[in-house]
Amino acid sequence: MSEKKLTRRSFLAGTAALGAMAALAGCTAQETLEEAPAGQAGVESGDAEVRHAWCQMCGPACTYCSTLCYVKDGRWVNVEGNPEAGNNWGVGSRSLCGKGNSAMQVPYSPNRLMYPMKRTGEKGEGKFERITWEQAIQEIADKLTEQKEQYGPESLGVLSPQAWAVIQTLGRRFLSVHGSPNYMHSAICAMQRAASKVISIGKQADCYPGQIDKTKLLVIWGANPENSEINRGKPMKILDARQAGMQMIDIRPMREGIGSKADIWVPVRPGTDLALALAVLNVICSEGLYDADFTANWCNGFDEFAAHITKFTPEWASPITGIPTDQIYQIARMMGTTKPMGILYGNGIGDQANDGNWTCICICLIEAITGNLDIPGGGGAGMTLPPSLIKTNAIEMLTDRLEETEEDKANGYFRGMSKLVANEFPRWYQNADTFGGGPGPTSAYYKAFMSILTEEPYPLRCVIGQNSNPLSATRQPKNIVEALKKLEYYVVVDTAWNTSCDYADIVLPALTNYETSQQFAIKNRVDGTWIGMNQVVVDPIGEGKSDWDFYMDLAAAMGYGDDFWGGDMDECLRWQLEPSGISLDELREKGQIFVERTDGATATEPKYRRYDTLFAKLPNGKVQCYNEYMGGKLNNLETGTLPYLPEYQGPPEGIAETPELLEEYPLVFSDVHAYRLCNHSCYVDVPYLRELQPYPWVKINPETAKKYGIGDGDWMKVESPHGWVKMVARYFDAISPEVLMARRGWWLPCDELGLPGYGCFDGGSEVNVLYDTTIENFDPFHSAMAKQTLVRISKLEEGDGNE
Amino acid sequence: MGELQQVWGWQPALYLFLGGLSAGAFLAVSILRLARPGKFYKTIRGGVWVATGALALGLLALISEVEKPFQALLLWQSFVNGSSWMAIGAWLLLASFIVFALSALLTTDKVAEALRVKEEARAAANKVLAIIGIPCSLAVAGYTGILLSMAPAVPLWDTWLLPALFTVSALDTGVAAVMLFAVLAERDEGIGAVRRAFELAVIGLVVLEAIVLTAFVVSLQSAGGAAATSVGILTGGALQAPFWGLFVAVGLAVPLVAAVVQVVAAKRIDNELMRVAVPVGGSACALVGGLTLRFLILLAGVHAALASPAALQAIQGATFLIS
Amino acid sequence: MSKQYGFHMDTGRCIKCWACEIACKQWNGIPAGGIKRRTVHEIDEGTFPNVSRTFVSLSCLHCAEPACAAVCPAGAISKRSEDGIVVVDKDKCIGCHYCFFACPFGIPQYDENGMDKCDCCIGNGVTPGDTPHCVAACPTQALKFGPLDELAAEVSEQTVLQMVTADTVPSIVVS
Repeated sequence: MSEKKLTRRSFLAGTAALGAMAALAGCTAQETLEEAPAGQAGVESGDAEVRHAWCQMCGPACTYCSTLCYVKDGRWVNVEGNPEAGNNWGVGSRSLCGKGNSAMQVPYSPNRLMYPMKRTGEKGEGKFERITWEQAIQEIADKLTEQKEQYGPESLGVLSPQAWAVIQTLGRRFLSVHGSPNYMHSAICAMQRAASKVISIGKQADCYPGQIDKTKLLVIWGANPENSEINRGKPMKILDARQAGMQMIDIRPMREGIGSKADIWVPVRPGTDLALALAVLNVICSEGLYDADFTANWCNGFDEFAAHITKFTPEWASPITGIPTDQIYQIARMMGTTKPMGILYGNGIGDQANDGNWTCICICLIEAITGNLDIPGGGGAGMTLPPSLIKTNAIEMLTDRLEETEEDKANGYFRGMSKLVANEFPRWYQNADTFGGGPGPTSAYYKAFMSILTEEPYPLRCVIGQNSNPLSATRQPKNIVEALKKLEYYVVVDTAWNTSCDYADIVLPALTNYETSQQFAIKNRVDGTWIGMNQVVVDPIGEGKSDWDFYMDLAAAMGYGDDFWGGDMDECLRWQLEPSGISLDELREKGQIFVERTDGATATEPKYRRYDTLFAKLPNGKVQCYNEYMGGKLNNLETGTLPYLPEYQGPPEGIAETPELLEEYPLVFSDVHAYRLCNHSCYVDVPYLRELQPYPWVKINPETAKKYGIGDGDWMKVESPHGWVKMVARYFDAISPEVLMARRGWWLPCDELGLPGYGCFDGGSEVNVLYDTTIENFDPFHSAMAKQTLVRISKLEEGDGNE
Repeated sequence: MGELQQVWGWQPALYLFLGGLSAGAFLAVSILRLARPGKFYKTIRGGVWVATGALALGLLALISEVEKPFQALLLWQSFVNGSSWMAIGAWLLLASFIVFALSALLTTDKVAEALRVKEEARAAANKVLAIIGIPCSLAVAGYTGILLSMAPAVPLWDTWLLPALFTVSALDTGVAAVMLFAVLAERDEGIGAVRRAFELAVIGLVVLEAIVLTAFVVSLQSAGGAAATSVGILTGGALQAPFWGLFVAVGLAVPLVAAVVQVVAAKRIDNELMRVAVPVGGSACALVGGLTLRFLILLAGVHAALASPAALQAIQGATFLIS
Repeated sequence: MSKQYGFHMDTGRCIKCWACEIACKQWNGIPAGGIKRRTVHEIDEGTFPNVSRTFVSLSCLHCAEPACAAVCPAGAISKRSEDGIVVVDKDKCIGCHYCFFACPFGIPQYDENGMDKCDCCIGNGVTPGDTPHCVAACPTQALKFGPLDELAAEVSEQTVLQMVTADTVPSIVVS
């Protein structure tokens, strides 16, 4: 293939060089067709066809909402929730969030990559040549084989952004068979919170009410359900309960969607939630609001804990959190006296604060010592559904293929833990018991990248980034790009050219799950069990293959075919479906099948207060008020041991934590992680979504903005001790005058609306350049990284000018 | 209060001005023609052609504003709803245009000769057209304001004082335009008395316009809410400079002063300045003021629902209470 | 008229997720970057920390006495007798924008075909009176649609109000 300079534009969908293929995706996502009845009416009149697909807008390979997709003249035009699947509130629901309603624009994005590419110039130059898929796969396989020989299989790392099915199944399996434990998990994930829960109240206990219709008080704490899971049931059920009389306390820096319905809004300063949780525990303990029976019988070290807590008074917490002392007493007393009470806490505080572990443990303890665990309307204790009538096989992780080293054996570690390049959790922690929901041994994404630079304990030699842009997904793109420059081999599999691709060796085009039929999922309900499979809605665009096929092809080329169904995804699907008695062909043809429950079984109330089962795996079989699960054991950096009792840490830069910085950097800055108009940095190029928020924004209290002469809609410069970005100011009253909140991930352009993508470095609009990335500051248990800092702001005079 | 009204832009503003100007001009020369038949040919000819031309241009501006101008031209299918003032207006303007155009053609000697119209028939026709033209003109002048005031959702326009203001302004600008011909073109000796009559008319009209304007502003201010906010844009907000500077000072005060000076001093001072510059200056300023007024009234005519979020709660008596 | 249909907007359930706006655009073939038939409004009161935010999703209110229909010179806007839905005939519309200035809620929007507004999805194939797509899409069931008297009866126990105007009498229940 001849070498030619290919700019990002020239190989994208719109170029003439692609000839016929340009016609397919060269049109924009906005082409409209002639007027004719749509939806079911269109199907009836013969103008349209309907296909089943799982909505991808919460993340690729998601299987939360089943949708019906309407195709007219070969073009996908409309989508709605599938009423037969039982989405959201149940059978009959056709609801779909804003993102779901925009899905039909996704496959036709002008940003779609059309063919595989190989880099010919220097990293960062953007010189690539077109190659075939087979060539690309072979080259990657050859390189991996060579590196396995030279450096050991652990030199391969695979990026794990938001949890998604391909990585968690085939990706993990590939790593295991290859011999690498380095699943580079984001450390920005519900998995962090889940681990905090495992070590305090146990894996099976829960703070969120399983029967919210019986709950009297719901506390939403650092969670964002109106952005992260609109159609997945929680907002609906919360609102139902609220309208039936449930009280709500919302603890978040901004008063957002559901928070606007809460009885009390607690505008906690970002990053200080641990202080608030400690103060709440303080009040509950000192005023005797705890459940005496529970704490006496089911708490490990409650007395020591209560004694330790006395110093964390609301008076102590108020200047740290920015919350008036009165309000802290008020909510603590409400939590201590209103029963049943449940807590919905989220990623904002659990995995995006460097003391997230203790924050979540404390929240779990609040739920526990008030006696709200596993009671009707309290945490957990959901109705039990009768079993699924459709059985399938789950693709196994094959972690038993990882080498059990001498070090593993000597320390009692799960196999592979000693070889992790940047273990996310302490090595003693991850094992078959604690993985649950998590995909085997994990290295932390950011720390693993840094190992490339430090070469400690060893550098990764190859990273596969599939559906992840490391210059947006993790902290400090300026450091990541240095690592990418030094990294020997970087493979990207994506639907669009992401900003890290300039540093890749191979870039492969991925098909969306709307273009293939390779995934099914099951929804079990009282009246029966329903199974739905993706049908092809849009004919494959370009020369890409699906994310599933990438792993199948790579495995086959590596000689791992025996563990990968010969590299045939259809064979894999048949294997998965085997116990169900449903053939792949039948399921593909019908798209969905419902198996009715005929034995009359219904949902039953669970046994309550099953404390001996729930806490069985905890030290002494009790809730860890004095935490002996992790206390005294090594932290994840192995620089010291973890404490038994909490101490307040706070963000690396904060009003109360680093007052010496306030003169230069007077305002607190943080960002919303999930948002209802994007999925991390994906879908920022979807016209229906981008038009609602076209520019990178930061929400700012009008009083603060006016002090700096910044008008609503003005571009402003936001600068922290670590970097600076430009964002558009959005006046917002429901935020403290001391705080700014932004949205991240704006590198995708939207051609249809004439809007650019914004850069990932200083002067761009990627908020991740602003945060501290001192590894020693990360959470010592689960590696969570702070997304709070202090900033100074000014109006940006030069106007928009792109990076 | 965020942005100004932008849905109806410069074309409707121009139409409102030209429509008013045309009506005022035709009215002025019709009265002159009936009072002094056969005289002041240049002035009357100027006036009727201004009326015709201005109305034609105004209608062109109006048609160019709609989304589908060619369809709009088919009056018999696009202006059929009797309860719509815009439909009524379309036919009114058509009828008036025919009257003005016929009058213009028959007034002009060369055209009348070319058409071989007999002198008596011509004089009779012109007289009839002048008589019909007076109510037509008043209707057109008032209509431009009624069109706006019949749109219920704009607080600034929701008052009978708006058509009153536009009517007076139409007459004011019409007289100003005719004045230009009386000063610059007329040869007839008796024009002096006519000019004086016009100057007195100007004084009367400007004073009347000031009174109506004051009533308009005060009544909207005291209505409070969105009405007060809208009129506040003119008197103290984003448009205060053109309102006070162009409309009030240039458009009302200057013509008033020019007219008073004329009336008081014309007999005593007779030079180029007094004979030409002052009246022409005064007329030009009156025209600028009239145009400015239409632009300002449109720009400040913010829709009630957009005037403020609270306006969503109080629109024409709509009570929208949320618990 | 047989029965007046309308919407029930439950502001206690609306979380400003924009699903209704986008569903409407998608099903009515309206591209991004231009007009929209449904808008989620926000009404804020107070200053930090005592701030309240209320969200209201509104489209054409299919008034009993539509001001838009009265002022349309071409007679392009009419109110259906079967269900009270107010529709615009784009073939007749000349796009003079007068209806925008007549509608108390500023609903009419314009593109090159003339005035565009909610028609309860009749235009995209939904049987008149059946669920429009905004209602079907709403993840929190904040929007309902049906005969107005039935909707009003459903909510009378809550603290509620009907939007009343002297002039146009919108067909909507807002709670």
